[in-house]
Amino acid sequence: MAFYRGEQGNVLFKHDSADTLTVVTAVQSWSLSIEKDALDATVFGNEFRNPVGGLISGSGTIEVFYEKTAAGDGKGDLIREILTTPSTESTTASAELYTYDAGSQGSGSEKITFDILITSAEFNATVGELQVVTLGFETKGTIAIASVA
Amino acid sequence: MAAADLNTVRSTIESRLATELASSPSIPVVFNNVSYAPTPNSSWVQCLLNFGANNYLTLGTTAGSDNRIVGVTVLNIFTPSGVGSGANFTIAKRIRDLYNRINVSGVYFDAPIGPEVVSASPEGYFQTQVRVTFEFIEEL
Repeated sequence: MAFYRGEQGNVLFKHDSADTLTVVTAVQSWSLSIEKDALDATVFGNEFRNPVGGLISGSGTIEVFYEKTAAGDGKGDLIREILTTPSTESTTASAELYTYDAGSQGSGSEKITFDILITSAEFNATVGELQVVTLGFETKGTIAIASVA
Repeated sequence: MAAADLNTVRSTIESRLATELASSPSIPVVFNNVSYAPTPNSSWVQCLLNFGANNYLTLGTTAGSDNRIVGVTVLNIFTPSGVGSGANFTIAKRIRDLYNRINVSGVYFDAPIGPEVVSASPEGYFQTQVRVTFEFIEEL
């Protein structure tokens, strides 16, 4: 059994389907919460509640240290994604959150993949601290947990 | 990127002090593990640099990741005893100005602590102490 530490993770992001997934540099943390609706299918005569699974959705945050970036690099695109206007959101962004990066996402790496909608970006400058940008997101469509073959 | 060379960080910090105290009026400065026999009734500065508790900063293992390296520079300022604190605080100001919230070659210095009057060691001097914490980001 192998356990993983936080620093063994990684984040990849691409702005649209024409791009390639690029490593986001200087990520402090990521989190993903996946939820499934519980639909009540209990019928008369049941003595215990009987929920069935409904829609699955995900949301989370990615915390990155702010640094000078340009559109076109992984972090630059990720930070700027909040400013993508709804009229151009048909260009689907996607992300891969690695729980374990075996080295340049090589064989044996473990990841969670999904299309992504960035819903918030909080820029933070505190005296004496490195500047952090916290990006909130929601998943779009299928969420998959996969291993790199 | 590569692992940080802490000796380069040390050199950055110490050479800044050495250059300043070599200018007029020059004051002898002593660093870690250097023997020095102070002249009675003279002024001199002792600089002791230590690295402390470093920590993870970003995701990643041995490549494409960052660590935070922190440390403290303790500067003991010795001036003749029995003649007040003015000369001592004048030196302390030179030292504070040297590091106060400055970023030199990627070494971020915090606001200095002191000068605090402390019991003189060695005895026979009036001693104050200025401490400057610093931070360096190691990019692997």
